[in-house]
Amino acid sequence: MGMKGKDWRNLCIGVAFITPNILGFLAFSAIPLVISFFMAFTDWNLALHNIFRNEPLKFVGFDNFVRLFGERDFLQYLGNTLFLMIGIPFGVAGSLGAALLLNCDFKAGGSRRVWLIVLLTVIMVVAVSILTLFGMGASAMSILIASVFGLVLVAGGIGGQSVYRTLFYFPCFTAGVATFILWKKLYSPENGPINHAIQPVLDVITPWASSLTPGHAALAAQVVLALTLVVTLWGFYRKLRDWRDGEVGTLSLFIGLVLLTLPLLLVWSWSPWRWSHWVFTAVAVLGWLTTFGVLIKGRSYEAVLDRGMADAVILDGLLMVIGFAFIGGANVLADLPAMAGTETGLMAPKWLADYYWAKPALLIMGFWAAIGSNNMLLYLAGLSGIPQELYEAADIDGATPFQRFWNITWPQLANVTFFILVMSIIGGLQGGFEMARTMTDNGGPAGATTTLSYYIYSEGFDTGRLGYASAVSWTLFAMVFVVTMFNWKFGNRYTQE
Amino acid sequence: MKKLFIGILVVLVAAAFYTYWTEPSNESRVPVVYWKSDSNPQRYEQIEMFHRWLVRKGYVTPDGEPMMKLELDAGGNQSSLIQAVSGVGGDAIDAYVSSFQPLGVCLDITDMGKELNFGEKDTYRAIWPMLTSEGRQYAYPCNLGVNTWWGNLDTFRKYGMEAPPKDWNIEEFEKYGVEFVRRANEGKERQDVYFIPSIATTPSIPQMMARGEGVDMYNETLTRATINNPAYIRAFETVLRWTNDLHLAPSAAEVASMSSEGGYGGVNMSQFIAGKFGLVFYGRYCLIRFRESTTKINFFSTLPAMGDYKNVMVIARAAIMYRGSKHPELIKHFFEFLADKEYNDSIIEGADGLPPNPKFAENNPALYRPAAYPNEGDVHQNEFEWARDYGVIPPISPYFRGSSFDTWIKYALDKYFNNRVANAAEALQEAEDRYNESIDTTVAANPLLQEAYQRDVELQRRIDEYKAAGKKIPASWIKNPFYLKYYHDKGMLEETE
Amino acid sequence: MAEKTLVNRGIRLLILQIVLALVAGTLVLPFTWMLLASLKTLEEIGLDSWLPRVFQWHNYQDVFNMKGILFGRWYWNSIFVAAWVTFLQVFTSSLAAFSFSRLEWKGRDQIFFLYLATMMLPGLVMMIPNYQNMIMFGLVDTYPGLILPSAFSAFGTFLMRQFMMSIPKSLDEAAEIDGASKWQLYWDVVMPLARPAVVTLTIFSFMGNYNSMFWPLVMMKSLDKYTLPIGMLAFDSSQGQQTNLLMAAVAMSVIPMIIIFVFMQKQLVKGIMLGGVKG
Repeated sequence: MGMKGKDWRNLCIGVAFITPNILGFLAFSAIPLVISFFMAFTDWNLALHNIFRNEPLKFVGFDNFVRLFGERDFLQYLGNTLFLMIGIPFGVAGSLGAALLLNCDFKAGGSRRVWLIVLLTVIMVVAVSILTLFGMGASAMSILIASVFGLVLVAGGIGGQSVYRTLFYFPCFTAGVATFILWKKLYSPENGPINHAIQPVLDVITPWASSLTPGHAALAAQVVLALTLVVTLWGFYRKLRDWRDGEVGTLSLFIGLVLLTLPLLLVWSWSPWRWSHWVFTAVAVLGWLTTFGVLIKGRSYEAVLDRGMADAVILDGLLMVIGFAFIGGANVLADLPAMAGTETGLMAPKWLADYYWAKPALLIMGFWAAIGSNNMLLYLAGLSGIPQELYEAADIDGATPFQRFWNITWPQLANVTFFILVMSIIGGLQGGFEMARTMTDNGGPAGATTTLSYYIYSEGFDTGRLGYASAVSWTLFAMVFVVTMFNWKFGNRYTQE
Repeated sequence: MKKLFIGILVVLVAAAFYTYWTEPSNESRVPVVYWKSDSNPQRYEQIEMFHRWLVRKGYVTPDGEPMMKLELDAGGNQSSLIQAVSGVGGDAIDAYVSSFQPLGVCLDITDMGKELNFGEKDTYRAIWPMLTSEGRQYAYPCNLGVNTWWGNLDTFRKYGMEAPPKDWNIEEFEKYGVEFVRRANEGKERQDVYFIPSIATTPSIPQMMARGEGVDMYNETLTRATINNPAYIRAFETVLRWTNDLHLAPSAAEVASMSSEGGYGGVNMSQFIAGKFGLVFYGRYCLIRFRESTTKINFFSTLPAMGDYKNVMVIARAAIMYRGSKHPELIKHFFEFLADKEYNDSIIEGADGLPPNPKFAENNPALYRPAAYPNEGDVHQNEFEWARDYGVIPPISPYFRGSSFDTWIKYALDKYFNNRVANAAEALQEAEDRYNESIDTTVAANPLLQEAYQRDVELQRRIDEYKAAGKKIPASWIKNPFYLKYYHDKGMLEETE
Repeated sequence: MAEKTLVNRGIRLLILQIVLALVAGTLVLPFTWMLLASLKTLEEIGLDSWLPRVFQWHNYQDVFNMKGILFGRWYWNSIFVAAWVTFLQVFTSSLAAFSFSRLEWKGRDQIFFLYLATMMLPGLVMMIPNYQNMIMFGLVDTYPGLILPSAFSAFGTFLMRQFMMSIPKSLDEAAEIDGASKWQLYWDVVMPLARPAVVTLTIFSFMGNYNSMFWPLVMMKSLDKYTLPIGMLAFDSSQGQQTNLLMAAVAMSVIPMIIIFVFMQKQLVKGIMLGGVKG
C-alpha cells in the first residue's frame, strides 16, 4: 500500500510518543499474559520446574481445566466468591440511598433564618438527648456515642453537603489493609466492640425467647416463611406489569423471574416444613405458567429485548436475597427457644472465627464500605443529569415522593446503575484476596472465606501448581469476559437510549 | 507545569538516593546472610548473640570483626516458598522439611552436621524425623516445645485439693476434674471456675488420645489419612463430654460470657492467673509471658490424660539451609551456633521452649530448677524428660500440601462441637476425605512424587498383610514416626541394625 | 403563610440533617473506636467502655520504637514507591494519550482498542509470569521491582486520552503555524490544559499504590524494604495482640489518604465522574 513519506513521519512520531508506555506495557502485561496462557496448558509445577530442578515441561492439553471442575476446593471457592457477591445489590442500593440523601435540597431558600432555626433545634436536640441519657443513668459510653452523632450533626449543619460527603466517603477512601485490620479487631469475639454491643441486647431477648413455646415459635417461623411468598408474588406481579407496560424487555423479565424463583426452590433443602416444599413449588409453577400466559397474550407497549437489565438484577436480586433472608430467619426463629433455653442463653456470633458467620461478617463490612463509595459519586453525577422538568411535571400531577422515585429517578438512572452493576460484578469476581489474607487467617475458617483470587494465589505461590493456578485464573478471566461482553452488548444500547 | 514537573523529578531522584543510602545491607562491609524467621523480638537478641559468638569462636575478619552479618528476613511464610524456588530465599529458612525438601531447595547438611556437631546425636530422637527426608538431614531446630497440662497449685489448694498425679488416664482425669469443679463452684449460682479452658480448637488433645490407643492420623507410610476410626471417634467424644456433660471446660458460649480483660496471652492466660482455670494446655514458652506478670504462680505440670501408650506432641521450629545460598560456608556456622552452648543456654534462660540440643538440657540445674524462679517447680524437667521419652512429632505427610497441617481436623472438631454434624464419625469422615483428596491432587500434579507414592502404597499393602498375619514389620518400611516408635516400643518391629 | 412554609422547610431540613448525621455517624463509628482504642493501655482494650481512663498519647511514639516494626521506614517506603509509580504513570500515560488523541497516524485507533481491551484482564492472570520475569531481571526484593510493573497503566492512558479529546484541536493548528514541534505542542500546549486530568490520575494512582498489598507481598523480603500494607500485616501477625499500638499504627497509616482527600476532594470527585463513565 502506498504510504507517503508524510504518513511514515507521522507514524514514527505517533509511535515515539507511545513507546515508553507501550514498552512497559508489553514487558509487564502483554508478555506475561501470553506466558500465562500457555502455562495453563502445561503441568508447570514448582516442585518440578524451579531454579534447582529442570524437568521437561509437559503440555497436558485441557487437563488442568478438566481437573478444575472436579476439585472440591475449586467448587467451594467459586461458591464463596459468588456468595460474597450477594452483597452487591445491597451495596448498590446503599450507595443510591446515600446519593439521594446527599442530593436533597440543602441550600435552596437557604436564608439565614432557616439556618438559625436549624442550628437552634440541633443544639436543643443534642442537649435534650444528653440530658435524657443522664436521666437514664447511662454510662459515659452512651454519652460518647451520642456526642459523636451530635458532633456530626453540628459539623454537617455548619459545613453542609461537603462535610457529609467526606464522612460518607470516608470508609471507602481509607479502605485497604489498615481498615481490614481495624475490622478484624472490631469483630473480635472476646473483646471487640461489636459483640460488646450485641451481647446485652441478646441478654434482654433471652428470657423472652426462652419463654416462647416451641409450638408458638414454629408458628411464627412459618408466618415468616410465608412472607417469602408475599415478596415473590409481588416481584412476579411487578415484573409482569412492567413487561406489559413496556418498561422492561423480555430478557430482563426472564432473568428477574429466575432470580425470584430461586428462593422458592431452595426451601426443599432449607425448610423443615413439609407443606412449604409443595406450596412453594406450586407457586413457582403457577407463576411461570402465568408468565407464559401473559407472554402469549402479548403486551400493550413494545420494548427492546434488554430494557431494564439493571432493574432485573438489582431489584429482583434484592428481592431474592430478602427471600433467602426470610427463609433463614424462619429457621432461626424456630430454633430460638432451644437456643435461648441453654444455660448461657443467646450468644453473639464469633464472626470471623466461625465457619458460618465469616462470610456474613465480610458482607457487613463490604456494605459499610460500599455505601459511600465511588458508586455514590457516580450516582450523584447521574442525579445531577436528570432534567428538572421531569420532576416539575410530576409535581403538577401531584406525585408522591415514592412515585417520583420509581417513575423518574430510577428509570433515569438505569444506565448508571447498569454500569455500576457490571463493574461491581467484575470486581466481585476478582475480589477477596486482601480480606482473606488480612482478616481471616488465609481464607479460613476451613476455607470459608477463600475466594478464587486467593485460591489462585495459594495454588500458585503456596502449593506450587502454577499450571493449574493459571488455568483457574483464565477461567476467572472467562467469567469476567462474559460479564464484559454482556456490558458491551447491552450497556452500549442503553447509553444510546 | 514544566518547573513543577522537573522539581518533582529532582525530589524523587533525591529520595531514591536517600532510600538506597539508608539501606542497612549497604552499610555492611562483611557478607550479609539472611535468616528467614518470624519477626519475634527475641530473634533480634539471638542475632546479636550470634555476632558475639562468632567473635568468641574466632570466626572473624582480619580486623577482628565477625565474618558475616546475620539479618532477619521476616517475610510471610507463603512467599518464602516461592522465593526459595526462585533462587532468592534466605540463607537459613525456618520451614518444614516435608514441604521444602520435595522442591529441591534444601541443602543436604548430613555431613556438615556430623562435622560441626549439629547432627543426629546433637538433637532429640523424637524430632529427628522432622529434620530429615529419606535418612538425610536437611534442618536443625531453633527450639522445640511440648504442650502439657500446667496447673496452678494455689488454685488447687484453695479448694482443698493437691496437685493431681503426673500421669493419669482418662477416667482419673475426669474424676479429678469433676471433683475440682464441684468444690470450686460449690454454692455458686453459676459455674465460673473450670478445670480446663475450652478445647474446641485444640485438635492435638484428641490426637494424642488416639495415639494413646495406638492410632495416628495417617497410616504407616503417610499415604492415606485414617482419621475415621474408633480411636479417633472415642477421642472426639471424650473431649465433647468434658465440655458438655462434665463441664470441665467451658463451651464456646461460656467462654464468651466470662469477663474478658485484654492483655498478653489472651483470655486463657489472664483467667488462669485469676484462678478461673485449674489447668491450661501450655509449654515452657508461656513462661515468657508469665514471668512478666506480677503474680507468681506455683506451677506444676502433668501429662495429658490418655490411654495406655504415653505420648506427647513435640513441635519444633527448625531452620533449613537454603540450596541457593551464596554463602553456605558462612551460614553453616549459624547452625553450629544453634547447637552450641551459648544459644542453648539462652533458650533455657529465656524459657523460649526447650533448647535444640539435649546435651545442654540433660541434668542441667539451670533448666531443671532455675534458681530465680523457685515457683516454677519441676515443669522444666518434666517438659524436657517427656519430650525425650514420649515425644512424637505431629502427623505430617509429605504427600499433603497446604498452608497448615491441621486445617481439616480443626474443621472437623469445630463442626462436631457446634452440633453441625450428626456424630463424630461424620465429622471425621469429612476431614479424612479432604486430606485424602488433597493427597491425591498433590501426587497427581507431580510425577516425581508419584514414584515415591506408588512405592509407599505398595509398602503399605505389605505392612497391612504383615499386620494381619501378626508378623513383625521391617522398620525400614515405616515412614510414620509415630508408628515407628509405637511398634518399636510394643516389640512389633523387625529391626535390622 | 410565608412564615409557615419557612417553618415547614426548617423542619424538613432538620429531619434531613438528622438522617444524614445518623448515617454519617454510623459510618465513622469504627474510626472513633479505633482512635480511642489507640489511646488506651493494653489492659483497657477488652473493656466495655470505649474511653481510655488516661489518654496514652505515647502509644503513637511507641509504634516507632518497637523491635522488628520499622514503622517509620515502612511509611517512607510506601510514600516513596507510590510517588515514583505515580510520577511514571502520569508521564508515560500522558505521552501515550497525547499520541492517541492528537496525532494522526495509521493504525492508531486499532492499537488503542487493543490496549483498552487489556484493561478488563484480571491482574491475577499476569501475576505468576510477572513474578518469574522479575526473577529473570533480578528485581526481586528491590524498589524498581515494586515500581516498574505498576508504572505503565492502560487506565491512566484512557483517562488522559478522554480528557485530551475535549481540548479544541484549533489550538494545535495555531501552535503549528507558530512552528512548534510535536514535543512542544505536548509540553507547552496540551499538558497545561490537561491539568485536571493530571491531578485526577495523580490522586487515583497514588491512592491505589499506597494501598497496594499483593505485589509487595510477593516481591519484598527484607523487612526494611516493606511498604506499609505488608508491614501492617507483619505487625498484626507478630505483635497483633498489642491492639492499642496496632490501632495507633492503623490510624497513622490512613493519614496520607485523608490529607489527599481533604485537599483534592473537588478534583477527585470530578475525576471519578469523568473516568467512571467507562472503566
